[in-house]
Amino acid sequence: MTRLESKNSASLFAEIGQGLFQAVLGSDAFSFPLEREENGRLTDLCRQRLVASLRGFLSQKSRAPGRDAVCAIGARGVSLRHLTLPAASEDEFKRVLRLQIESEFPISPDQLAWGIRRIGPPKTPSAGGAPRQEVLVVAVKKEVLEEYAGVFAECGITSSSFTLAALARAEIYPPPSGSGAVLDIGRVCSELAIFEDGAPASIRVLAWGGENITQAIQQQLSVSRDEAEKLKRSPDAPGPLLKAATESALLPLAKMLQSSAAGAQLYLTGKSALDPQLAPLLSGLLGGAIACRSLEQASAAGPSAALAGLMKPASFPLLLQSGAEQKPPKPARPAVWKWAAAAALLALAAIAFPYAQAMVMKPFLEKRLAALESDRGRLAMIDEEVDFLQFLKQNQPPYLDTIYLLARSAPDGTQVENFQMGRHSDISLRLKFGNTQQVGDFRSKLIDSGWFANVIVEEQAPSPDRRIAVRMTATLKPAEARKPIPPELPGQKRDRSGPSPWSNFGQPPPQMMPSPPPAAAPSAAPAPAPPPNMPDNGLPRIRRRGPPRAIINP
Amino acid sequence: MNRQLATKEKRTIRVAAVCVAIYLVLFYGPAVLGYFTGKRDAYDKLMQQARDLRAVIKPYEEKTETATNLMDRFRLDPAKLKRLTVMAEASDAIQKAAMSEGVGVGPIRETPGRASAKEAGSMQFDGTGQIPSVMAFLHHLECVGFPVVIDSAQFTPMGNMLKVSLTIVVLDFDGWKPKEEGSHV
Repeated sequence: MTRLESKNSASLFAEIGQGLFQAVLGSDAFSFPLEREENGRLTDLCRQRLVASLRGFLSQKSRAPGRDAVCAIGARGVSLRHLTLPAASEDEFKRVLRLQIESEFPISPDQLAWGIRRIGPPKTPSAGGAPRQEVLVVAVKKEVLEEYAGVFAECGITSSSFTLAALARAEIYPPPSGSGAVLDIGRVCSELAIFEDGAPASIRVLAWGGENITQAIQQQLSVSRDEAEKLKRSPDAPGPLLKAATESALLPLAKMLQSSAAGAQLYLTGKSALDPQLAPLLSGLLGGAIACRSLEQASAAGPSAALAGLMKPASFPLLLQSGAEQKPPKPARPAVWKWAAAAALLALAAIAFPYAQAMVMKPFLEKRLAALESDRGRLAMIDEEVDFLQFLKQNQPPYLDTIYLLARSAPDGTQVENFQMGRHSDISLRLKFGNTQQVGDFRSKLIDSGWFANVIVEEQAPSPDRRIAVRMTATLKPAEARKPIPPELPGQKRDRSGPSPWSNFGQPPPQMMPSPPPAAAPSAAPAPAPPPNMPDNGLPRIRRRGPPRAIINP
Repeated sequence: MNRQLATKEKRTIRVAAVCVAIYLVLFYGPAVLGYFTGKRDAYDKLMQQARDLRAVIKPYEEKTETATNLMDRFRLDPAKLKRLTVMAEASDAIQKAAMSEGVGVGPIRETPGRASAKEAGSMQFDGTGQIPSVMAFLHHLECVGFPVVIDSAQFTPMGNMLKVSLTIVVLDFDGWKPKEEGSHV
């Protein structure tokens, strides 16, 4: 059940009857007669006038727009049903209720507005089974409420709530625990709400109203209609004749009430109920079985009974809401469906990924490949430089190594007269040894060094200074066939104290010599390197030296 | 005025949407799939090109390392050599290297190089100096900053001095560059 929780003193309370619109805001009241079409809707002219009048009423003083409205509507077009539903959780209950309404009412729930009130606690059936909850359902066509809500909206009222006037009237005087009824007497028709055990049981619209009494007085007293109306409302009017006329007018109503099983108590509301004689007369016509009592006596100068019931602070009228608003929430999708959806999504992503990758990455790849292809010419330049440098390296004869080996192999006292060596590995020597044994030793050491081949003594002859003059030739082995030269440790160095022309040839191998300072470099012409703004596209680069070296002065 | 759709109407719209979707998939799906497959194939071809290029580039990492080491060893950058001046600059550098090591520079004779041997020129260098100076000079020649190769060397003692006669070849880097073919027209 939805209860009105936003009701406060600043709310606009309204009652929309068949022929009258009444509203109360604070201490100010507003009323407007209504004209309806045959289908019960307000005529366009009536609607426009009502909007204009209500807007004027609301705009007075400090009645700023934007407030909310609580509105009680008449019983015409309203259906009231008692349903018994299985007691369940709130969502499940709403779902079952909606299905039940769909089967009970001739109109789709989406076209209805309804409200419910639970009657008592859930009861377990005597035959056993799940407990069941009895509910009262009040339903009306949604378009009826939308029409009224539209009127309020045009007047600047943003939120409007609707309830049934018959139920609101019952709020001012809660019905007894037994059965009873509330009869609202209108001008041409009346609303009869019957309660059983304090709960609404049925609502009827009776084709009888205060106009019936006026007509009876007019006919029986032979007066005009206005005079009859005055007599009806005057407590000092002549008694027996007026009473007889009223009784004759009340007789059809009494018959209708007797057939309606109105219960033991009947409360009268409406302008006609202001007549103090009405309730006793009606009670008498009903044979004393139903005690009639007017609720309007205490509130003669105040608002109608329905408005009073709405304004009662402790009242919680049943609110009518459209079926769309009352749709039960969709049942939570089982987790398995979520997982299945996630798996399907993942599979879809996996399938689409290669295509998406192709679409996204292709432009980047094309750009990078184009840059690489355009820079591919640099690879040929690297080839040329590597070939050139390797040729240079392979064509550097090991002069210093050769001289070192010769010096190490030569015995003391050996005199070098000439040493000649060419790039093509041919060596020519002219030496003088002390004796022939030294010639043989020298030759053996050269061969043993693993660097020389074809060591030939071309000429050996004694010299005038009693030494042996030797002319030798040798061939340097290819680089890959040469033995590595073992480094000469300081302790193993031969004692060369004596003067020997070879002694100074015995320099350490070039690896042991300090690196010479950089010499002259090619002139400051910049290398044909790639332009500086060329991006590094991944091709290997030769690490080049910085600015050209200065020529070192001797 | 916007009317709210009834449940049946919504269901009808849903079914219609599914039918339209199935129609679109059946009739346009293959074309769309073909379009995306074509894109993917083109991308695969590009990837293959990239792999081929990587295979081509791979050996050059080692080559660049070798070239860098050799350039450090010879203190030489072939890209900076100019054919017209390399001979003069090399001769100047050799003489300065000799003097810096204490070798007296004697007669020098330069001769033009042979293009077939990829030579920029050759020079006959005679010098005299102490044996350590001559040895240091020989060692220095390797990293004189120009592509020089000692074609032949002759050492002759002269008392405490050593006379050295060198035939030095200056290489022509342009000889290693491929010749541009002339037009056949």
